Amino acid sequence: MEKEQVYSIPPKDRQEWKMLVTSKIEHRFQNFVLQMKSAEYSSKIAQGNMSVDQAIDEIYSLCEKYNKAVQLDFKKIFNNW
Amino acid sequence: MNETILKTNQLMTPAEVKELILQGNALVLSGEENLLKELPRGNWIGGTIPYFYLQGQNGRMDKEHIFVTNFSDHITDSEIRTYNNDDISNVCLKGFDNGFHFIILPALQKIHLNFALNAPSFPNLMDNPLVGLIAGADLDEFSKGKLARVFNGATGKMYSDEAVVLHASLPPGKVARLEIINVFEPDATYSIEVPEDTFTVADCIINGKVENLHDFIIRNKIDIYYPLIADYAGAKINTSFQRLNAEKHQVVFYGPLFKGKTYYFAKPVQSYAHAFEQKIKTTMSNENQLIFNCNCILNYMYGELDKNDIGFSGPTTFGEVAYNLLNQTFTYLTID
Repeated sequence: MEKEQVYSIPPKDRQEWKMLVTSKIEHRFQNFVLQMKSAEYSSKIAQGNMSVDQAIDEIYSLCEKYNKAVQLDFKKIFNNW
Repeated sequence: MNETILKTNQLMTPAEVKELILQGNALVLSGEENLLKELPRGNWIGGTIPYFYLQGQNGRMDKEHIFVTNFSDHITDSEIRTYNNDDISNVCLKGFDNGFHFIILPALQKIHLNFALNAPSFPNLMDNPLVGLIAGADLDEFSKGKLARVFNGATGKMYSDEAVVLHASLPPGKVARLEIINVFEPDATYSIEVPEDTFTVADCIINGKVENLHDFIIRNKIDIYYPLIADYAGAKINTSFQRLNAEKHQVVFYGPLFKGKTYYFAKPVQSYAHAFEQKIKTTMSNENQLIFNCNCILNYMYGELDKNDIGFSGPTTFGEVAYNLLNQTFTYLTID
């Protein structure tokens, strides 16, 4: 039987998450949803419509969902975890 | 060889499609109105379109076959619903915790325009992929007033101003992911901003100055075969030109332009098929379970997909749905 590979994601307390949602790291995700959402977070935070913690929760949750598709992005952003 | 391999993403005869429906398969169908109308009730939704691009052969207009996408091997459950102008915003509130929503809307009707303008603010929009297409028709007939139609196979009803949706659930451990391939790149020479969300533009801001977009395009000989492109943090979103209205000095688009976004004309592409091939090589190396794809009728026409093979088979569309309305964009759904 085919064994499902499990993909890990970096812990939520890594500084890179905050840098991502505030555009301190300007990373272009390969995944379409993450491209759209990462732009939205930094804009909402700048306008005071979203807290940094909320944005981190949301992007973390999306990355958990698409954990396989974001592995190459993570290597570039986090290097290792 | 496995004889039970799922037949999907291909043209089939109405008789073959009927058999798949009677077997209870969960299907998305594209074809001529008179073919879809004759199908039995079942677990399917459909939309009119007679143009298809085909793997291993040139694309074609085909009014005798139906293009079939069969999701049965991938999903655990499905539910078909019809939405009207008043409740289309609830589309992502329905369905399943883990799955996707496949939507078909009729071209250039009120619900299409409503969706195009308002989808970005639909609740729970990004919880699960919202994928789909805008149904159309033979272009000659469409220009003479023929309406695009969508079908709710569960009820056997056909509509011209409502949306049909197949909400699908996936097994635990599987996730649906929606991606796009846009061969067009923005040319940063001119930046364009509009004063409000709109499908029709007269005056706008080009490079910081008020200009009439129609006159600017004529004066600068801009090729409107290519779309306008906005950059959403790496996601390049196209909006296609529908026509220039010389009398009113207006430009009409197939999708809305949004206030606050900056748009650019596209760099010309020598060959759509070649540009697509270059783009797809890198993108597809990581994909192994692509279950649906569609491409825009404008890419079919301007890219001459009736004379080219881009390595995939799918229906053409009068607009693609990838959470929002897109234009001139290859859109696909994959399972991880």
